[in-house]
Amino acid sequence: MTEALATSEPSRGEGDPYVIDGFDTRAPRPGLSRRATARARAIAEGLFSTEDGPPPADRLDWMERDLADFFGHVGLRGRVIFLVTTGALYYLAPLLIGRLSTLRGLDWADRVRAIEALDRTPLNLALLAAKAMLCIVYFEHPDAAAEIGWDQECMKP
Amino acid sequence: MHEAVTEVVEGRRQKGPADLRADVVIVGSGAGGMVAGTILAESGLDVLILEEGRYVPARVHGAMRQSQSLRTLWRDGAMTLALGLGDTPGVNVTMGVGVGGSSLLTGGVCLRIPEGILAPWSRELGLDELTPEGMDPYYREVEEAVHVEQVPVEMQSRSTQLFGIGAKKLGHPIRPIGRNTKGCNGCGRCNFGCPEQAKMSVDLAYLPRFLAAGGRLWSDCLVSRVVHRGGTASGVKGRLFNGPNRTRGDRVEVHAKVVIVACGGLHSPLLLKQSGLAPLGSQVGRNLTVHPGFRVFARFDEPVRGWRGAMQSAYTDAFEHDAVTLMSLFIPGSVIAATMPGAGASLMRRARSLPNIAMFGAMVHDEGPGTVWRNPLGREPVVTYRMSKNDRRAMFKGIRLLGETFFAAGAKELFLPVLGLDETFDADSFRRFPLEDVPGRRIECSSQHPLGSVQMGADAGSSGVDPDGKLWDTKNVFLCDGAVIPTSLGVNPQLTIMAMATRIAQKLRDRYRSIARAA
Repeated sequence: MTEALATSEPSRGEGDPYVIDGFDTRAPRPGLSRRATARARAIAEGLFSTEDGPPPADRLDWMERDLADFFGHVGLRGRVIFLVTTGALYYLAPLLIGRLSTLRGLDWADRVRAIEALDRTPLNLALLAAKAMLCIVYFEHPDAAAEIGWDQECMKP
Repeated sequence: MHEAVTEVVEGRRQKGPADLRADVVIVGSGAGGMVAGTILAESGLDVLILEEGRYVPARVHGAMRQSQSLRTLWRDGAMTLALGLGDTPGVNVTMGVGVGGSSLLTGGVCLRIPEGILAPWSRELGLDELTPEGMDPYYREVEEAVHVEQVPVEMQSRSTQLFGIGAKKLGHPIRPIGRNTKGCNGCGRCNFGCPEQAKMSVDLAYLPRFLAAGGRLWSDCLVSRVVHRGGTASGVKGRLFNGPNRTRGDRVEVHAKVVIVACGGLHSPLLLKQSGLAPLGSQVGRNLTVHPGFRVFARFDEPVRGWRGAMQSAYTDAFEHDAVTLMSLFIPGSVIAATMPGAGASLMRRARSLPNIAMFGAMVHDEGPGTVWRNPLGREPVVTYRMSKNDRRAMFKGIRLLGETFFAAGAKELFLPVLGLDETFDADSFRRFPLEDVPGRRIECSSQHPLGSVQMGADAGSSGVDPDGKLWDTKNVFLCDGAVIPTSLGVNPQLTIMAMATRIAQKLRDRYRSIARAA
């Protein structure tokens, strides 16, 4: 199921990864705007970067789509929490390392420094909330799961 | 009598408003509502259960990715926060929203109330029947219905085994727990849907009985008000989620002789407040306890792969006198990665150690209390929570115990649940670390057990419902969920909620005619 999701756009046809045994799990509409998913992507590029740079684009594309579905399910409060916490990371974190920019305007190394700087402030609960949501979706991509050694044997066909 | 219905009616597929009648209407289909509904339906009453969430068959839930489960069946995607007052952590409170309620999201743990906690209920709160002997028949009935069995030692995850080795060395050995399972093969993801449908949550253990007895269940139906006058309820009102994009659409109204509120520890008091059933000075919404829980990760040299084996399989109550229970646990790899310190390369380096990570949790038998408030800006409640000094002490004691036990088992590195702490510990640095000086508000806390917000008691001035579960000052409004539990339990409450629901429903069944006549 997750592999199909990783390699194809969501569709309602046969093999649709959001349809399980005839049950459509998809949200009635995406729950995040393009701007909000772009902010989430900019954070994820820093959060999940390695010494070699940001994570592969296909994983981030997948994460964007799945996040939009996720927040299409949850209520207004959940969406507001995500928007506020990712907004704090995106706009405030760069200020903490003395840069007048959004997170997207920084290079990878500075994004990481900015995120870690936010973690040392009383806003770290906001970071935890945003990080949790991004991790929960991102690490379900089969390649991201494999990278951290998370095999879920029970879920394999 | 209504026509026999053999399946759940999905409110979102209904066309037009619904005007329904029943002997008993129950709001909520979780461990309380579904159990009470089944008992009442099997006694011949016409019972209608209304559930806010969707009906997701167990086979579908079991095939979902964890995040799909979160978005579909966990209220607000598991993002509900109890705001910490004073030096209290914000507590992430998770609840189910779907047919089966929070029983869908448990690790299956089924434990009776420890006698030391139950004794004061009769001694100090005047709940004379709630003794170990008085509760025993209800527990036995539920244990049989949900098939409580002890987790075999060989099904323990390596994570739990390692903790057990350390616990034995330190003289507080862990004990196997009972769970509501049948045919479990240890997939380690009970709370995100069982791939084998082996967890006997109420949608599997009770729903078929309820429907077979002629009970009706409508999903996708948000009840916003109990309709009442002069202390007598005549039914409930709400909306179906059959509007555009599954938003609130047509109205639904149910006329009934008895109303049972079973929406859980946060939403039952909210519904009563919305309905004008919580007058000034009442105990509705107060006295909330949550069992603040936390976990400690430990890295071992050997591969652990803690997701293989039962998600929860053992515990120790050796520290009950310190108000802390240690409980085995394993959460999804994606969530473990989320709570590891750092970002970028440092986060990814730590996340790659996932296969070597073991974990154990603890929860505080808390005094609290917290309060559930109406939210002027939305329909979800605002929850505040203040820890007592004893709770804070127990929290730090629990973290210390978890760490020491893992090091006794040979752990190499410890990850503490402290916000903004970008360091990990070896045995020496952990011993030196002044954990108890960390502000309580910096501890990462979560809760799956909101309890006691409409607590049961013998005195109307200090409790929300009477010993039979009836809301004080009403003739026919009952409560039947975690909200009525008089105090924090110190153990997972699922079994107790079901046993209490059984008791309340059986007493209501026996007195139904007189209650209905009076109403």
